Amino acid sequence: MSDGRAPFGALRGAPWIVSIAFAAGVLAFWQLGAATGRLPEYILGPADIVGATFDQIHRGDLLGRVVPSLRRALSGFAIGSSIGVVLGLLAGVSRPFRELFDLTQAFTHPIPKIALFPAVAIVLGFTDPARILIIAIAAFFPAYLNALNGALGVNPGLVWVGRNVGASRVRIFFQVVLPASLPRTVVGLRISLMVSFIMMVATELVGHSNGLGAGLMDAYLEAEYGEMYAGILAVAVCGVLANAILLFVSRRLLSWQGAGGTGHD
Amino acid sequence: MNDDRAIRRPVPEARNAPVEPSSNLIRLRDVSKTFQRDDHVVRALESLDLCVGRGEFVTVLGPSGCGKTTLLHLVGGFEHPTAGTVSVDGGEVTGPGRDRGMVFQEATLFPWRTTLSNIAWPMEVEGMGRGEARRRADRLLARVGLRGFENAYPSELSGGMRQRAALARTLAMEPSVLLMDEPFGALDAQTREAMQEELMRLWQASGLTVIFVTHDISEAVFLGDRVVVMGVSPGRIVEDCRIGLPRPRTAETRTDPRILEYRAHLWELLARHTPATSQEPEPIP
Repeated sequence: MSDGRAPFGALRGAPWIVSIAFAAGVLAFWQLGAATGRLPEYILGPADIVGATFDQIHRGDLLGRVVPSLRRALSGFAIGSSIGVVLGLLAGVSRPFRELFDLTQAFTHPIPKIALFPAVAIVLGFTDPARILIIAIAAFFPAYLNALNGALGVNPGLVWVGRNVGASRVRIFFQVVLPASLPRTVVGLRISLMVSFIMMVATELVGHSNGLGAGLMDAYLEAEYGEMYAGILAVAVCGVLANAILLFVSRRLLSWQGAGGTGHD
Repeated sequence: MNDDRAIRRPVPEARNAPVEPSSNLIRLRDVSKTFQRDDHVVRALESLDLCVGRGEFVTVLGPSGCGKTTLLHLVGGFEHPTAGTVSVDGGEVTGPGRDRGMVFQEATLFPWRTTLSNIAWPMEVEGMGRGEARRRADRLLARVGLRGFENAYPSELSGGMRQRAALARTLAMEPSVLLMDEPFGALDAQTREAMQEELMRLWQASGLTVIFVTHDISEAVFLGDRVVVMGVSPGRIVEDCRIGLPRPRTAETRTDPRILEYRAHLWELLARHTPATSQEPEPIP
């Protein structure tokens, strides 16, 4: 047991080495399987996927898909999560508000939001506004629930200080409750962002669309496996980058928490 | 609850015998406070009368569940009496106010603001310009001995330093009354004594009226002009003990032999009024 842990102990100062080594190991194993023909032909090796991706980039196809997809995901995320944060914080500080939303939220939250897509399409068709609406609805819930719980979890002593000082309710909301619930709210935003990417792909698979999801479907229908994997890789890269940007911004906002305060992704 | 309020009657001065010099700043008259908890009523305070003179330092000592924190919240205006009246400087207390500054057991600094910005906040709320608020905050910060920690966040301060900062922020409201709820309860013994001595220095120079809640007998004796001892079920005052130790009180005061006598007396009182069976938790605000 202690022998097995020794190498990790030595690496404690640089844990990323272990992460990279593991990822490299998985890729090498995968590549080996593909190169020796042990994997079925429809599972491409990493080298082929990267090659196909560069191919797509050169032809300009990939950028043509990424742009409309990102526009949908980020619009839906911005609309849904901002409404979620505002309503969540309001529900957190006001009992009537909370009771107003509670039952509705409890019934609508468990619905897989993609199930609403056909219903929305009756009115809006399988169009961009319909897709953005579905993404926004899906992004709303994590943002709402985390902002709500963040506001509910604010140390009441901080609010008492505000009352003692004679701050107005509005000032207490913006200068006490809002920053105090920020750590939790940011967690909600990050979940909302991931959900937005999932819904982006899901809504693009259905109806005549463009974008990464539609590209995946087309590649499947034409048995263009390289193109398909390149699409999946592109979704992953977009997701990681968007998350990294949000993480960077939130670390800036929450720098007062001290090192590592925002948790692990 | 409303019925209780309706039947409240003014208590004749004569019956309410404890001497009431005209300089009394805080008056609690026949104050009762009950809480509904689950299926039973908790009598946190019952027919409590208390006067605190202007510039006086009163410590409130009692076992947990005696309502001492409730007493503080009533004067602070964060809670309202079920019966009776609380008045400060002649006016009935109806809510929190800047004239009565609270200092909590756990320093409630805003973790997203630096020490200086925390202390400046009450002045900014009042409408003072940012620059002026910061200049004044800087002076207060020096007064509580936090020079050099202007830009530190609360998470970077020790427990004692956080309480100093919280005290400075409360002083920034320029209150006439300080309400302190076991502010040094979470500190280690050495830091606690240092903070007590520093509080004495600050108070001596300030003319503030202080109600200081604690369950530490030595602390109550060292700080107070009077120690108000409370008992449980229902929460009530069992003795109002004047402490004759000379002012100003410093580290040397701790060697005064009278401290031992006061301690022994209060210890005995507390033991008599703390039923071993009823350890009710402090009511949660």
